[in-house]
Amino acid sequence: MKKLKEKLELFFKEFEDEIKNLDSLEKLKDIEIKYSGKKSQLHSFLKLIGDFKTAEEKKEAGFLINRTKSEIEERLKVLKENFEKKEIEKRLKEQSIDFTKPVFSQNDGSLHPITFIKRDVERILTGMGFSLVTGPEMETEYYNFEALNIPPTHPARDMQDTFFLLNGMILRTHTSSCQSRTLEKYNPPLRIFAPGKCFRYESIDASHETAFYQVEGLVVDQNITIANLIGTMKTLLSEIFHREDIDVRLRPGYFPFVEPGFELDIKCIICNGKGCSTCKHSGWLELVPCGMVHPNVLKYGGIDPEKYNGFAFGLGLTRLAMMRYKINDIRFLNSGDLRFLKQFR
Amino acid sequence: MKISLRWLNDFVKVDDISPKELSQLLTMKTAETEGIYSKKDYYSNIYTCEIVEAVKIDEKHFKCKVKSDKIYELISGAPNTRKGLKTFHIKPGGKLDGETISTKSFSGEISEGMLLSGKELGINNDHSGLFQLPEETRVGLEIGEFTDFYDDIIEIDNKSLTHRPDLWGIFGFSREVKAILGRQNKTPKIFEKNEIQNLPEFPIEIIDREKCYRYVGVKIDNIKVEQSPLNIQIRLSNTGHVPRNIIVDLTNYVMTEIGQPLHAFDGESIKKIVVDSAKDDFIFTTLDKVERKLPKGILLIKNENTPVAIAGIMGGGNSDIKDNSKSLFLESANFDASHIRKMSTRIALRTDSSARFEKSLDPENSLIGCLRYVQLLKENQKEIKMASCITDKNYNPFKKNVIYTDYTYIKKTIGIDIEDEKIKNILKSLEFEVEDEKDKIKITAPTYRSTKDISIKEDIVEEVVRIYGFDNVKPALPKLQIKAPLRNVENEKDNIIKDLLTYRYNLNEVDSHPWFDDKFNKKVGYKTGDEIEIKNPITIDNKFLRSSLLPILLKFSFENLKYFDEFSLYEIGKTFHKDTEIKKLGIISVDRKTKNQEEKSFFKMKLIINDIFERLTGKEPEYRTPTEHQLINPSISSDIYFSQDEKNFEFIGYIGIIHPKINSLLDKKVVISFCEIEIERLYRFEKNILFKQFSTFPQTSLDFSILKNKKEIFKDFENKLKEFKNDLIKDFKIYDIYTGENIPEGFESVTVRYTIGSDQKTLTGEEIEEFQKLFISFIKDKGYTLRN
Repeated sequence: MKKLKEKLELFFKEFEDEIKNLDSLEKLKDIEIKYSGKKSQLHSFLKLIGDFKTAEEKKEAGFLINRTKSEIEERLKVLKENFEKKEIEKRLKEQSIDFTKPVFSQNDGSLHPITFIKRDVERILTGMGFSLVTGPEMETEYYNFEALNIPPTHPARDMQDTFFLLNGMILRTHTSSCQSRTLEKYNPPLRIFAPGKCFRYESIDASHETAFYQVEGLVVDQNITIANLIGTMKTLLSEIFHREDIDVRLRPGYFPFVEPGFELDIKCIICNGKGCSTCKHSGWLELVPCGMVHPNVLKYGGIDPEKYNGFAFGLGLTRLAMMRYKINDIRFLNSGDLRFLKQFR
Repeated sequence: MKISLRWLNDFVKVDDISPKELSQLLTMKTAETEGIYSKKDYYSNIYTCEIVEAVKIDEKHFKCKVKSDKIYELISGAPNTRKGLKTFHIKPGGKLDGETISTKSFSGEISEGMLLSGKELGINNDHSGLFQLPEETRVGLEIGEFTDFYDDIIEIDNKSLTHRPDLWGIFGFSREVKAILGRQNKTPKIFEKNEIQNLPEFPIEIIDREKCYRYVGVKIDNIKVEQSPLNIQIRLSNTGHVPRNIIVDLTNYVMTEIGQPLHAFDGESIKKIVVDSAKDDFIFTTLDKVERKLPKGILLIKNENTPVAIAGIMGGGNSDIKDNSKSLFLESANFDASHIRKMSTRIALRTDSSARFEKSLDPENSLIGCLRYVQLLKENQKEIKMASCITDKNYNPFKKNVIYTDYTYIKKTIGIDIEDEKIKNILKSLEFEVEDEKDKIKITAPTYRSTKDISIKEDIVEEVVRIYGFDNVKPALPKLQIKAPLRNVENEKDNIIKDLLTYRYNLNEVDSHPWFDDKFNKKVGYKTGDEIEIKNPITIDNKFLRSSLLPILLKFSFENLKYFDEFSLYEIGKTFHKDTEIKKLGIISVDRKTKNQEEKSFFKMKLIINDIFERLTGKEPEYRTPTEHQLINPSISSDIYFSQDEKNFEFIGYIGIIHPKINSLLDKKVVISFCEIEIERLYRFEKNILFKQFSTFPQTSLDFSILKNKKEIFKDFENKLKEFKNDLIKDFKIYDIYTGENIPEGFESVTVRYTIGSDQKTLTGEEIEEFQKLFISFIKDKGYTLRN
């Protein structure tokens, strides 16, 4: 037994000496074969168990051999893991990338700036429960004027210089033309908005275009108040301009399809009301013509003004786009110029 | 409109508040102000003076000594320079229309300040000589000490007065200021008509009483056509008028003051006034010496049978006040607003007078206007002689409007809770009569608000809320039902296409005008047919509404080719046809010309179109016949048809390469492809996605390359392939089309891929081989050969 112990100790020492100077995974494999494989010396020790007489001795000899075996296996396992780890570390050290090298993108498609603004306003208004409706660009005088309480000889027709067509129709001067179309179609209570292109006969310059975009908003219900109009506008405009609580003010304004009619100003978003060139030093920006729906407009739409009332407002989408993107010349919008368009990706 | 604050102060005290503050108040409560012009910012140091010595030093110039607070020496070039003349002198350092006047030297002679003409003072247009002051003028007085020269002018945006006929004169604004500030106001002093009630009437006959509601006239003799007193001239010039002579100036003065247009005829020319509509078209020369063609039906002022004025618009050259007129006939009338508006638009003549009449002036003002004129003339020319009584033909159809409402309604509509008394006081300050009647209130509007402005209870709400102050209304969100917004398919699908084209195919969205550009169309040889014509186009080249998106997209491409070689644009926009409009999608793509580029560009476009159809409807369209289009290459093009039920195919658009004749107009060698689709017709279809159970057993892909004669229409080839039926087929795709090496001349190799499998088991090698055999023999039967 003592002899076996000595043999095993010697064997283990030999193993320890050999792994001391080990420097590669390949050599480790050789050692594995030599010390723990089926052809190793350790294996031959097992034959010696038969030389012992008693069961107890046999048992002890087996235990001694197995202990050495598992110790060797454990040491080999740790060594192997260390080698593999070192191997990966080595590989990682050798690898590198110049992440500042350029990539070549083909993605230069763009949306028109009006599309961006329209989607934004759409998102906000639908979130507030408004439904999107549309109407034709080539409109009848009835929907563009009469149904909005603007009879043929009304001076307000001068306010909106109109393109008249030889087929007796006109190009709509505002998206308010969607008001009566909607009122005829849906019953109150209703909340709608109508974005779209409008046309005015006027000379074109950096801030005037013959074709531009508006969104008309309309709320009809029972017991709607001027205070409701102001509250709704504040909510809408705070969202549009990303302000917590935008300051608005109302002034008298005249539009035949509302009574009373207002001009709604917002506190200048550039100077915060201190006065700058954008707000012509007034501290306020005229932004939303609005008012309480004129009872005649409700009547034209087949709604009883004694039972229902409401408010309407108009937002210039083109103006909003110019404000948001700081576009200094309205003519770019209809120019088809890619130097302009490609900036809106 | 220009509001003189000095003038306004005649009627209501405003000299204790700053013009800025007043302007702000008017903006917030009455009408939008556009700006304030303070004359003292531009002029200073202007004194009355007398020329005490004038020596001619050359052809044109005088060396003068002028006396104001002391003696100044200066050079004057004015022809009317003479010793003893009293005029205005601006001292060195003074400001004249914003420019500082300094001591100058004229060929060695010192000139201290300068003597001024009417034009230099900004009082009138006279630059022929120095402004002449009356003999009795004291010298050394600053102009601001005895006149309203340094006035502050608030400019009102006329558009915000469209509905307020009462605010077309300064006095009207005094009423507003009275209500806003809670002050008292005075009315303009008028002539007491009873003083001359015994004089005979002037013959006035209104025949067309539908268009003329009232006509007040008076004849005055022994008048002098002379310069107006300095301050009248200054007030007129400060409010935007050019002073001429007192007889004409006072008509403008009264109009500016109370908003009533007047016309002064030469008294000798008028025997009897007849107001009637023209029976026929005729030519008439107005007092601005322009011959105008007047239409039948236009309301005229006639002297017996001869037209002497276009009613409410402009007087005639045959009857106006001349320098030597000794007598005048004054007209102060009221006309139907819509007639005046229609006619002034029709004959393209807008005047201060027509701008007011078309707003529905208060006929009560006709009498006041006449009396105010007589008062002012009398104050300035004591010696005038009234030659008739104030003759008043009155057919005024307007009554004071009465509105019944209640306080609760007013408060509920605004969304405020205030005392009834406060509402009543606001209305009273605006000169409404308010009477409580049981649970209602009866509100009577003043005459000057009854012609159109105030007629319904909503108007009363406006009056109350604006004077009460919008700032005092607390914002509150409406209580509304929770309701999902209605779906808008058109908008949803527009957005799907836009995102697809922009983010997948890298196209650029454009937006454009709704009309054709005829100049460009001519250039590219695009002929238009029966497009809708615009009556009043912005330019003669833009008179037709577009019926196609092609020309504008082509034009944009031409312009962008200056800066880019390759690009694609698209627009979803309306085109116009007879009495309908159609929403179309137009895509244009410009590619550098390389080998086979036409074909490549065509199929690149086809790929995009198929993708759009696939996404919107789940189906591909059919490309049937070459398209016939003046700007499209007939050989490389196709009409596009679509059917949802695979039976009824409808034409829905076309695709093609732009006609080669266009390329000669371009410097760069490019291929332009285009497609136009009536996109909105696809919107009514829905793409239905239904899950199909897939086989859980492995499937096998088999590729076959078939040689196909290039001349054979692919669709026919494909249809033949589709005749091959087998239960194992799970999917079939045209995988690749190849020409080139190893392919016989005139042929192309078409690779098709069959995916085969079974839902019950894994296919055996024999089954797969069997399938291959069946297909190969099928292909051979159809007369094709396999490549390998």
